[in-house]
Amino acid sequence: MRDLRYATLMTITLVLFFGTVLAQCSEAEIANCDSWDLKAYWNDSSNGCNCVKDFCFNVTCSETLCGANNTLRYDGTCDPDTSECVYQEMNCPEGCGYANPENTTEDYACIGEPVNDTTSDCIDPPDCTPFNKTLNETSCDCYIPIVQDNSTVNPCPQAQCHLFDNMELNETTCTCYTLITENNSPDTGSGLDELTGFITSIPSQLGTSTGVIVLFIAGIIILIIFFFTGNDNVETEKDLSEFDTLFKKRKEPKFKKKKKLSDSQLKREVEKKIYEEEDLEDIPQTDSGKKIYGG
Amino acid sequence: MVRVIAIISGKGGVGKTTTAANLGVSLAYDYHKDVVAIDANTTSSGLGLHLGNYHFKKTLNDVLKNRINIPEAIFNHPSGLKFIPSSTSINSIDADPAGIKRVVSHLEPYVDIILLDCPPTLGNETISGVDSANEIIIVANPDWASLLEARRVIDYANFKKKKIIGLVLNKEENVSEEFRQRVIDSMGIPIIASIPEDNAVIDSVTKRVPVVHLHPHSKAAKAYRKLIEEVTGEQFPRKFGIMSRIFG
Ligand SMILES: Nc1ncnc2c1ncn2[C@@H]1O[C@H](COP(=O)(O)OP(=O)(O)OP(=O)(O)O)[C@@H](O)[C@H]1O
Ligand SMILES: [Mg+2]
Repeated sequence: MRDLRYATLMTITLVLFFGTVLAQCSEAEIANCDSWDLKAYWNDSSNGCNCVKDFCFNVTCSETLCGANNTLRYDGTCDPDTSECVYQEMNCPEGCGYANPENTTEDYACIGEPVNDTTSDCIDPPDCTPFNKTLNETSCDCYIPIVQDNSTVNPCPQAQCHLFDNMELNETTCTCYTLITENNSPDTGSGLDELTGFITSIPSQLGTSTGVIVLFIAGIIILIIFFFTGNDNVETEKDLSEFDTLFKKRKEPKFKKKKKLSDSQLKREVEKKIYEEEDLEDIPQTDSGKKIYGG
Repeated sequence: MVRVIAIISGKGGVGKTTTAANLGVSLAYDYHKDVVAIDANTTSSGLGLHLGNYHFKKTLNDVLKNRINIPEAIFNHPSGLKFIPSSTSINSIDADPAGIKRVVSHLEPYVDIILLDCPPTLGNETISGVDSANEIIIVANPDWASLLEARRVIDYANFKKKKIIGLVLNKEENVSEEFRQRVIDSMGIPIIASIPEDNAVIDSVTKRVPVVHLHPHSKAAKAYRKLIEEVTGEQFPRKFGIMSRIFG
């Protein structure tokens, strides 16, 4: 029973295999049709190879063209009855256009590699507006538009380099650059120098003994002012123990993956955290911090 | 509307974090505002140190890497300030700062002011900080290198149409009026505070308490109070004259 089933299966397979192989024109038959500019065609009903006229013989459909009306035609197939190419159509992708805008009769391919339409070569053009400049679309640079009387026009109105000491304007980048001179430090006149000069000149102006008395009284007044209103006299503290703890080797915490909260849950949680302060973890404070804020 | 203020600079080390810390604790403690300070330096944190601690178990980096939810990274400063630290470890330096905007918009409904302490230069964190903010404070030192770089971040903030509150001229010493005027003219924004170079600030970083509270009578603290008045448009609630020195 089982053997019979295998035998049937094998026969069907063999018939199908040889049937397909045989139901085709041979190479000689194809070459024969070719020589008549015809196409070899297997006729199932007559079970033989015939030559038929191929309307699409030698027709190649010129696909992926960005032609008239800015249309892209692709996947062209030849209709064997009419020998016309049938295309899929879509609008040309951005960047496609005519290579030569003057000659719009010429088609050119643009799929895969968008072609620049010569109006702009800048893919990511810089913003020239903050510098009141114009974009040069070929070089992708900002440039100063030429005006007739450029002596009165400031090309970079925002970069007022003349206001700085020793600074000149770089008109291409609209930035200021420093002219290298011997003394470049900003003018920071010291009021203290003037004050000490004035005080030391008092004795000679008033006569030595009166001067000493005046200086003594002035000194006391200055001391009082400094004591009550002056700056906290803070010594820079180099507390090395702070630095020891700062750079002590520490363990990186491990995070467990948590269930993500929805937006509304999150909002509620933020609200809770912000307004119920006891829920927030405190920032550990130094002794100074505890003294100032208590706790 | 919630004020989201980004503190930015061109050059590094000019005093952004010091400014953020002092503004933060004072707005919370003295003005009783609901303030969250975010250390938007995901690759070079520092604000935590000014506020008392330098290493936190949960940070902005973890939020940005979706390891934890936003509230878990909020810490409470005894001044009342809320604080989101960023990481000091190299483990999560790849956190994407673009997510800062998401953090800001989640916090907005619950607070009065959000402060963003940004890193220097116009890197991704600063760009994300500026994009998330509606107001900007620029910090610079009175030297040309710092001011020129400041100009660039001002240009960016203007380009993004953000309101620039003004320039904090930090670590200034004996700067002439003429120099200040030049700075104002060339930066195109007002100087809203001049903070003197002051040892009290260095001490406050060591002791990890912002100078406005650690040394309230110092020159720097006085200048910071002026800045806070500029930012809030309100007079400082406490007086720090001779009487307060004598009677505490
Ligand atoms: N007014 C000041 N007087 C003295 N020292 C100051 C002053 N302001 C800041 N500093 C010191 O300068 C250092 C740098 O300040 P800060 O960390 O605030 O700068 P930053 O702009 O945040 O730096 P970064 O760009 O690295 O984030 C601090 O260690 C601080 O002690
Ligand atoms: Mg900083």
